[in-house]
Amino acid sequence: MNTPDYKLCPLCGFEFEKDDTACAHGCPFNEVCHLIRCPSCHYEFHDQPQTLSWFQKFFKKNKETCPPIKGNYQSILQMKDGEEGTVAVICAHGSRKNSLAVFSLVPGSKIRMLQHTPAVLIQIGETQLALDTEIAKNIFISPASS
Amino acid sequence: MKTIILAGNPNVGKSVLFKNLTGHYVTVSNYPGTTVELTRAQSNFDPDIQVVDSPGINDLSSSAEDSRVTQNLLKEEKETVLIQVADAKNLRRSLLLTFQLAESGLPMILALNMSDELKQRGGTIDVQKLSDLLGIPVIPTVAIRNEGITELIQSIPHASLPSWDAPDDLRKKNADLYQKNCERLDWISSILEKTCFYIAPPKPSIGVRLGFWAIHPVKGLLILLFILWMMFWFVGLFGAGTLVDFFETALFKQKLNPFFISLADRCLPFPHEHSEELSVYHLTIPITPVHSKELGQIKRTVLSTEYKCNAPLTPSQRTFLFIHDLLVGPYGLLTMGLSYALAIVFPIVLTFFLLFGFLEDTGYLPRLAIMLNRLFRSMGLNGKAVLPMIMGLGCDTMATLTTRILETRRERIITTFILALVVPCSAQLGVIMAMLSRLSIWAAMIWIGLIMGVMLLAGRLSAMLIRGKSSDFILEIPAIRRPQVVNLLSKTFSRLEWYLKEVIPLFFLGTAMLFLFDWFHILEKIANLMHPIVTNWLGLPKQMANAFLIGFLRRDFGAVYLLKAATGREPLLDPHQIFVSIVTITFFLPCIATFFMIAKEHGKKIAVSIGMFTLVFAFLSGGLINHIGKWLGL
Ligand SMILES: Nc1nc2c(ncn2[C@@H]2O[C@H](COP(=O)(O)OP(=O)(O)OP(=O)(O)O)[C@@H](O)[C@H]2O)c(=O)[nH]1
Ligand SMILES: [Mg+2]
Repeated sequence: MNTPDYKLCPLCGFEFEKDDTACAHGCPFNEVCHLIRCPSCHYEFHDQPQTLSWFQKFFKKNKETCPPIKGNYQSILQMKDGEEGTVAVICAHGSRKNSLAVFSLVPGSKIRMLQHTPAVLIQIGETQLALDTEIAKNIFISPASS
Repeated sequence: MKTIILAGNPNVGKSVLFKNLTGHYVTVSNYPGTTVELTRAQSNFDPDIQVVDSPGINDLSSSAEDSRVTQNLLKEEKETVLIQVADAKNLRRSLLLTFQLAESGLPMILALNMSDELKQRGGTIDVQKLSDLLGIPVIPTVAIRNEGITELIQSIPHASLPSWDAPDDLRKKNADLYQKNCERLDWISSILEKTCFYIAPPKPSIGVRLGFWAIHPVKGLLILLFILWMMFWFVGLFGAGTLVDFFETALFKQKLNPFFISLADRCLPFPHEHSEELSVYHLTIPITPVHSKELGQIKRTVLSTEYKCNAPLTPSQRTFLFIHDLLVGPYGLLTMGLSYALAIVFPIVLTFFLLFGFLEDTGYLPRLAIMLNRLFRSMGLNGKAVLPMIMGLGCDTMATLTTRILETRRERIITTFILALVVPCSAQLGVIMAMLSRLSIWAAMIWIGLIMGVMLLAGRLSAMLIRGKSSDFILEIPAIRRPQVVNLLSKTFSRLEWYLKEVIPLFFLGTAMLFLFDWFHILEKIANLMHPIVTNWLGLPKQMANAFLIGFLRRDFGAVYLLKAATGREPLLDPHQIFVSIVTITFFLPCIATFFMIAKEHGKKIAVSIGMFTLVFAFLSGGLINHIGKWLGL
């Protein structure tokens, strides 16, 4: 199947085709420039070339890394089931941060850890939220609060 | 004409409220993302007012597909009142949306729905104070019990533009979305301090505990197995066995078909004589696939569709013969089309939709999404795709529409593809289960293993081929609720209606096609044409080409045809052939309605490529099974 190349803006989460951007229409640098500009929020980001081989793609695991965080924070994955804490730092790109924020998961909100496997389940207020372990890994609480 | 828009977070009871305000039923289920399209209806308290139900959204400002529908809706209407339906126990999130909705500049009312659950959990909200702080009417409601609806209707004329003294930052346009939401949340916290109080939560109820068991790594798996077994019993054995027997033998074969035949004979006279056959109906209650309890039986000698006609016919009698055969012949619209649709498909779909609706209303499905998230991750999807997949076990067309709840296009296409390739719809599934129950437990195991394997492999491969990103798995898990009987029945009824409307015309069309092909002796030619594939490659009798022919219209129709060939007094198929045909029909083309739905949602190109792929794959895998099976000497 030959699908058009869809881009996802890392900042606002808008999904678009490269053909719909200003880059593809009239920008003189189109051929040489490796940045794309999101038509929704105008954020510019790198258009990563796909260099993975078929074999790599088949067995690829998406590992996400987060810049090292200063200070004595603890990932919520280390909380025990039933433990409560206050979120201190959320390390994620803009659109993910925002999609957590709409569940009122922002620095300062109180959460309770409910379960780790098969997926992380936390409670914020009266909402139970299931998260990928990859996302939960990069949410931190300050140990003093636990 | 005035318009009332119902908007709010997902799964807060908008659709229940819509039913209360208009009397018009739209699907209500206990998971976020039930409603995917706008529904409009006239209100039941003022004929001049129109009410609109909208899909639930968490973030209005985001540019994701789901919030765009609501954004456009808010712009388009002129004389409009916006009722925001809020979950009273999640006031923080609801108010975040209130702030965003307020920017549309429409007069608003806030309905605090699910006040009953708030009370249960020990919370109270100072409604008057909240209303003063927001500057809009705030009405507590319990939509499922129709409480607070009168107050809500009375408050409509008082709807007003929100007026609050929010910090100046919030009024700034074009700030970063996330930053803005954080500021809003800060401001909301200060409102909540003054209006919302929680007293020590009571100890967890049985519903809460059940909810946790369902996602426990071990207990959850046991519950899942139990549910699968229930489904097998209720749909495969009870629906496709007991009920189908009743509708097919007791109703159609013994009562309706002879009636149709004698009616046709009287209205369309030509010299012929129908043969008679003995039909025995056993009323049984299934216990396991091989044990059942017989409660009684009815024996009748009935007219069959076969007849002898030796005398030469006049032209007018030939016309009669044509119409007679079209209606009640072996490929008759009534004796085949209608009886397949109503006697076989209907009972299976009925049992499936009942059970599925029950699972939906309890809130089990999002929990299943947690259990299967890892598995789906390997296919470039995440747990959220469980919903459309399970829905696909009901009807692939509905499920293709439901893929809208997935966030990225890539996920929607992968899910659509897997739905079309491996997920059998309820009628087909029921028929397959009925056929499998005539084989051994091992055949069933192999079949399940095969489906799982193909699903994982196809998912993995298409995840490689289709470029784009997968979304995060961030899913709100609703409370376990007790299903409302009325809702369950209305939902099943409206789905059945939808389904039958789709099925019956196609079954008629397919039967008419078979009949005409047979009449003009094209059927034989097609059978000869498909001989290399059907007989040499798949190892099936020549007539089975018919099954695949009508399978192009609907794969469940093809499956029913195979079932008929596999059962009965002189089955045409031996066990090995049954298994081969099960595999082939499982992976066969999606039905026409699904095909059009795919084309509508993702474009013709994708629909055609999915169609071609499934067709080739079905015959390929069926043939391989045939040859491998023979080679192993099974
Ligand atoms: N206890 C309680 N349950 C409610 C109430 N209102 C709705 N529900 C339940 O909440 C669930 C969701 O209701 P829906 O009307 O489908 O919610 P919705 O807002 O339309 O959801 P989406 O269409 O997914 O956005 C159903 O299981 C309802 O039975 C209420 O006032 N009290
Ligand atoms: Mg709804």
